[in-house]
Amino acid sequence: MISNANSSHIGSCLSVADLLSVVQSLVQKNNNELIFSKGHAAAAMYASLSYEKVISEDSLNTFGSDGSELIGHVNHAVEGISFSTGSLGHGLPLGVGVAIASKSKHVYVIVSDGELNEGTTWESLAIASQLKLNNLTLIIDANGIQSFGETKEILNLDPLIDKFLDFGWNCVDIDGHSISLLFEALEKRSEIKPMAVIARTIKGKGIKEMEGKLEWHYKSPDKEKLKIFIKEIGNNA
Amino acid sequence: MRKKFIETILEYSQNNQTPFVLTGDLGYSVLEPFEVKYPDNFFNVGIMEQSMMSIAAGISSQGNKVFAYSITNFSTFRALEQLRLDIAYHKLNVCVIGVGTGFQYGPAGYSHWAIEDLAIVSGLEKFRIFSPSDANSTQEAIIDFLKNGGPSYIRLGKHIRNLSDIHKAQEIGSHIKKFGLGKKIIISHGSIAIKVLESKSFNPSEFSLLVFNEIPNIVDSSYLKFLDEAISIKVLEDVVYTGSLGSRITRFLVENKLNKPFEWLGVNGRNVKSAGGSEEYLRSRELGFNYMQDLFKD
Repeated sequence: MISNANSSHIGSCLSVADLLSVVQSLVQKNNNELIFSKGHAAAAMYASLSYEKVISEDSLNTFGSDGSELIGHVNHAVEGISFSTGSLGHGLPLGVGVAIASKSKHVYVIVSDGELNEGTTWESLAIASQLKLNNLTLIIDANGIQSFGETKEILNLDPLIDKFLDFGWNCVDIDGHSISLLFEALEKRSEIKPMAVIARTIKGKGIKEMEGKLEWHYKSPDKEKLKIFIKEIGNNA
Repeated sequence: MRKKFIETILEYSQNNQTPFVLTGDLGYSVLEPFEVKYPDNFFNVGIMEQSMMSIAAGISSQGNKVFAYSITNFSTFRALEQLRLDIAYHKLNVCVIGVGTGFQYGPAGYSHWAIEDLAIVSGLEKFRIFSPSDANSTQEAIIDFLKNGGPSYIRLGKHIRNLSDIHKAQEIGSHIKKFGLGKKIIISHGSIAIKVLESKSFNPSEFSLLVFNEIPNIVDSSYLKFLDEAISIKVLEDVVYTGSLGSRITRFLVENKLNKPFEWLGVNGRNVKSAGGSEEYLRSRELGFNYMQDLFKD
């Protein structure tokens, strides 16, 4: 998709893919709500919806092309996507609103760790705790890299878990590529607290040339690279 | 107008789905009746206007109508991207309430003067913009939103007196009222409109006041045909010229080839001074100290 469209953010897509697949399965099975706040990893979101048969596999081929609804940041015109995002810091407050209005739903919000720079994220952490929104789970795709460098060098928020706990949330800090740990963490519920899952991930996960590399926030693999990368993923599968 | 805002919601809620009311920690002595009667639908989210607008969008997405209340500059400028992406783009049923229009917060200073809000929100063309001139038109705007929904912005002033208490009103279009029968037309909106009717110079056989309680994206020619017979047209508003009602009227006149004597009294944003004062002092200073005399002279 990304190679065909010559678009960016493949590194982000690969860091979030594992946790997105887990959350998507929980959302689709139970009619819950997912707000994908790191909208730039749109290709991963569309692929997960296709895997869950919410949208067709054929539609993925239109990604980034003229007239396609499958645009570079997630689009609410696409089935299975509640909100268009792309401006960071919108997803968690949107999730707070949904959690307030629909107590019967569980609301999952996926954000990037760079997005924790945004003040609205922290405002929303405070109000979610104040309102005891135990039907809200925040998942942080903590790949450690944002647009212009490493998160700890730009705005160091470590130790992150302490901050969520101080804000009155439950929080776990886990390997974001461990499917079993993700399921275990996402099934945790509190009577009175919202839940934060810090999912430690690797940008560009699964392709050695990309892993942990800032440049793959921007680059798109050409046709030749694509063949090599697909082969690498196939060998590791 | 603020009391009418909350009274209208309370009355509507008796027989309809109760909307949500969010506030950014403002509305003391205004919002309490709703808070008391509908505590599950009232949220003081704290001083976080940007997040409040996203939260409002989230609540609305679940099938609710939502009011989000703060002082004008905070609910618009501060939260502009949330208004644009979360509310307007998703066409959600959120009504942004801006309290204080023009120079109503005069002594409070520039941070509280609401003179550019119309310009800024006008750029979000999916929003309907209401600029009620009195309590009656505030009620009409609130009811319109509650019935029809959609992204909406209501700029709320402070007036208690209704324009129709001074002169008989004639409805000539959606949220547009005409006072007087004269062919010298004065066009206005919001809290400054009542100044025209209160003026001793307003002779209803010589002048007509057109009050736009909703600011349309494009002025509809069907109900303003009578402007063809106008002797003169003047626009009075206490907002900056850019994106104002006057700019829409100007477009209307040009597109309809109405070559009339035309004067436009508004705020020149580049020259706004820092010193504060009463609402009327600031209006006079920024619109011209003789602005009311200018309005009625030939």
